[in-house]
Amino acid sequence: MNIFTKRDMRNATVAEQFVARVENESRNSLIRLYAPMILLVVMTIGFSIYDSHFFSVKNVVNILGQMAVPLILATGLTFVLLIGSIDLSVEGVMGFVGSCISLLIINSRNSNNWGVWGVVVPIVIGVVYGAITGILHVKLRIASFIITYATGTIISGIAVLLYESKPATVKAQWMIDVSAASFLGVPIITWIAIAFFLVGCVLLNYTAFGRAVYAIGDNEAAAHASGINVDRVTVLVFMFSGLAASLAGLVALIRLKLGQVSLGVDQMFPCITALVVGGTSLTGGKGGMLQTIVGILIYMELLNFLTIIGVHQDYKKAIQGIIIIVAVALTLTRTRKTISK
Amino acid sequence: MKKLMALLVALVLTFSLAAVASAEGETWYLGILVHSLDNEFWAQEANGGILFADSKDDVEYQVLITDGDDNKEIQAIKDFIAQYGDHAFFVADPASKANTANIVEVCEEAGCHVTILWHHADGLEPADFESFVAHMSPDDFVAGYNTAKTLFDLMGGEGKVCALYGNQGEDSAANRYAGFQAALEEYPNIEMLDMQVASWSQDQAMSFTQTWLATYEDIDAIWSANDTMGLGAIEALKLEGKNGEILVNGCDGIAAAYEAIEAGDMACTIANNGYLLMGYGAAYAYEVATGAVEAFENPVIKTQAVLVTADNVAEYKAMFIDGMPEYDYTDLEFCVLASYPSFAELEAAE
Repeated sequence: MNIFTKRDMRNATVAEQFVARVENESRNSLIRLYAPMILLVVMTIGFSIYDSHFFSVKNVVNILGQMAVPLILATGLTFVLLIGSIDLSVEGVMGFVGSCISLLIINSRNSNNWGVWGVVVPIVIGVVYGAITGILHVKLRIASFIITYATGTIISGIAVLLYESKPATVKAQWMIDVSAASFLGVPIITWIAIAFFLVGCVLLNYTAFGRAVYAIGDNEAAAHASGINVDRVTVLVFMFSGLAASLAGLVALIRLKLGQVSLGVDQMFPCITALVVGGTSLTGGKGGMLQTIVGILIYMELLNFLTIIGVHQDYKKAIQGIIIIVAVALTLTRTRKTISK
Repeated sequence: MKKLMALLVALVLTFSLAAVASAEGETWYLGILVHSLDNEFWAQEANGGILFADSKDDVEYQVLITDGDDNKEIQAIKDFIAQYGDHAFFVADPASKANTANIVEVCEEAGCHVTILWHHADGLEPADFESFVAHMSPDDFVAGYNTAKTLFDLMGGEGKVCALYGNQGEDSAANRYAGFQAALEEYPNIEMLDMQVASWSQDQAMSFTQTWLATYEDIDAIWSANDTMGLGAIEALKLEGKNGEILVNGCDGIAAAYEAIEAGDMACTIANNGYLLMGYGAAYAYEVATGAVEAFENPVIKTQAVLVTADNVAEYKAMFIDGMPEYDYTDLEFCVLASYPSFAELEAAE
């Protein structure tokens, strides 16, 4: 049967071959879309049956609280991955904004009390920094993983200089209250994350900007030819990623209340993993907000479950690695002739 | 032509500077090798090295950041030696245990002297190398043992405990945990519920603690291998109003840990005293580099560290956080651990 199909294809007209390819492609994209969702549902049911603690109210609330930072970061990174770039500076920006806020509101290190401006000013700096990164990327034509690595290093260095290696503890009562507050049983920080995620959904799905992001990721030259200002959209994407990193820095500070660079350390790769697991392609153009939240949920549930059942750390890392390989293998388009971009 | 002139001027300046330096007598150049300055303890270490350098008229220093990278560290040492020759000497908090051998090798070749802190590779002994002046470290095993024992005593010798491990593959993490386990063996009525590797991260420690609180009903204490993870656990406890009720410890002695002890959220920490460690590390290397001492009789040194609890927190916070300690770097015996039993003594007692 297989042989027959192959011979058939060789004799087929160009149009028939094209149709077959499109059908194949759409089957793949269906797998890409639904496989992670099915996995999420199966995982949730399986984990709940295996250990009753998993689906307890307390644990679900924990997972929701723990996913706040990754969800915010991932919302920004979705746009970056969709245009086929990467933003390694988010960890640095997160650490900078977090430690900067801790020094400007009531804290243990100095007598500052900027109130709401203590939060707004660092976030604005984070967004502007994202814009600078984007401009350097498009104007100097430096690959995004190099330029963002460099700008990330610079900003975390500045952060350490700001707090002189002695991180400040947050003493502002409003922030302490926010960290413990919840609405409908869900922590406030999770609501912040969900709100930002919804903003990302609207931007990506209902605006010209969102369509331009997909167009650039799919084929940059074609997007350019059709009149899209690729440079401008790219800079905006990095600004949005800067905003996401800044908000993530704020939320991480609300959670931990110690303003240091390590607020951002090891935050980015888990997010990228979650995005890829959800079905977003590393090469751009494929993915979306639904994939993002599904990926984050799969990742957070898995981490939490492995802790609950007490899996040894070594196995945990191995399991994470295997999942990444499987997920990436599923999302790659295998019709491409080349192995990597 | 202009370029040539500039080059000539530069050359003349360099030679005259060199001449001035040699006319003023010998100057020694201290390379202070630390991972980074974004961690309070590492910053304490660097400041300790600087305190020593400032106490000597003939010592100039440079802080060399390694980012925990072996190659970067070796390159920094080679560059420093290329600049100052055999008048360079080092105090190093190495990037890894494996790299200690490389550091010693590079120094041995150049005839420079070095004190190595923390990591102690098997078979690499100061006594066997001319350049390897001393190995210094607080005793991590004792730190783990003492913090655990403090928790267990406060628990009344019975109850349930969870543990937060540091970074896998690091001596400090392994030895502190071994100390914890040794203490656990002495308390038969204390049950260990779970151990998780939180890699020194506050964020991970907080998440693990939240999961524990959802999984186990009656945790009495959380043992943590350092301050940052302890503070993460405390943030998780605060969300449920269990801070102070479930006991948590720290280790290292950062400002936020002292504050947590003052607030009653943390039971104890260990002030590892980076100032003393790196300051005296530099002092030992200096003594041998300048020829004042040929070699030390006991070059493997466990340095002083203090168990800080609610009883003595004010005193140590004033000394290490609000101010900087002052040490007499000519009194070389001062830094040696005296107040604790040593690892060997503990083992003998078992």
